[in-house]
Amino acid sequence: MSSLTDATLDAFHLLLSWDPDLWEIIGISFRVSGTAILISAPLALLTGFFLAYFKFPLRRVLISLFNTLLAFPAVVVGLVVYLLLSNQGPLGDWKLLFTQSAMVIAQSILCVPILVSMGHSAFQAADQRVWETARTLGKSPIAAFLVVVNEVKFGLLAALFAGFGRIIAEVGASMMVGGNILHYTRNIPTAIALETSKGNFAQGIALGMVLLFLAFFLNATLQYFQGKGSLNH
Amino acid sequence: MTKPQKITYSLLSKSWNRKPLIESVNITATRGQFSVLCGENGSGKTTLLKIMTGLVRPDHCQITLYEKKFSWTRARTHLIQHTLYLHQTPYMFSGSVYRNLTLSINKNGRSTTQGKHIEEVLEMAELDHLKHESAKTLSGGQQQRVALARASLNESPFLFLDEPTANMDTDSVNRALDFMRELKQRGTSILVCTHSPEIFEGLLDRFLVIENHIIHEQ
Repeated sequence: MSSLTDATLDAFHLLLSWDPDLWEIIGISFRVSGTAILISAPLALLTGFFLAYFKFPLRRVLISLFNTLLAFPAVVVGLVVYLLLSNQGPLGDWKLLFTQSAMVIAQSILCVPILVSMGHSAFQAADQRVWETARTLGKSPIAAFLVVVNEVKFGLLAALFAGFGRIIAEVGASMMVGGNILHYTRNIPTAIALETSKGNFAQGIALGMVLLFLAFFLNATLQYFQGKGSLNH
Repeated sequence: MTKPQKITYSLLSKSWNRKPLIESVNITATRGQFSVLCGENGSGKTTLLKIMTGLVRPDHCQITLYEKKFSWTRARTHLIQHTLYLHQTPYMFSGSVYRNLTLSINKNGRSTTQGKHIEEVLEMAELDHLKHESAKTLSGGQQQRVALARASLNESPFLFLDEPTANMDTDSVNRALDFMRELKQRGTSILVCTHSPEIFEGLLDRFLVIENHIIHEQ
């Protein structure tokens, strides 16, 4: 028990003393996961919109597929991206394996099903009249889409936060395609796994606290905006 | 682009789940004309209005606009540009009544007189005291009036209204009728779907009934 208390106190010390190694790992995590969400969000949310508002062949199959992919293990995504980017793989010439770009690719793939499924639910919550009203008021399809986005912004924000929360905390894919290289591809979850295996609990706890604080911050932000929205309608 | 004086829809047909809903209907909307369309529930009134406003794709329809014939698909942009469909339960965008009206104003590219114009319409629709209220919290009748004001600001020459007085009390109905009379005098074509045609007697130019998938004029 005392070792846990000591490790936690050390963790606070590392965080508050602005330990450069620790904050570098945090920076890499945010950079990689932030880039992944920025790359995947536009296309994934647009897909969710099309699945919610337009009828076309295989629509239901696609919805089921994306819902199934929600349970896709991160380590399998890592394996697929590894095979694609390895020297013998079809994208081996890109020389991306064990780089931050490889981690961005894997994390983008991981968060797409969450963004599509939650985006689809959010768009579906706004009935057809939103789109029809915007169109009949003379909005172009793009402007009407933006009107719909504004109407369901809290649902979309929840989708973005859930997607970001999943990829910044996943370890399997990042470890496989990033290689956990210090100062380059070591992010929060891969660092926690490594430091724990070395018995260096303080850094593991400090990084775990960052993830917990992030989860709390994202939820609190969502609650704040949702509360504001419900008061103002 | 000048606004068309009339839009003719020819051989308009639509099936739903492989059952015919509307069959080879011919109908013309003319500026300054007030028409009422009656029919039983499920007779296809709403679908017809949505096809006429470019929102729902028909199985077949030919459009005559500016004396030229177009397929519905080619005419769709014009239909969106020049017509407006008002839902039976209009959708209120999040935000105030004023914001709901600003979302309507882009159709004709107004900018400099925007604010002044909105104030005029708010006054005309007797909504000026509600302009800062959240539109979603208004009563059904007030929301209908906001939707009518939004339609007026939009300056579409062809309005298609689906049961516009369904949620209104007598006072609100009278205000809405005054509003529609004003729009008609400005040359707007109005086609109203309703189960209570007697309400619109004073405005009526044409009475249409949809029955057995086709439209009769009475």
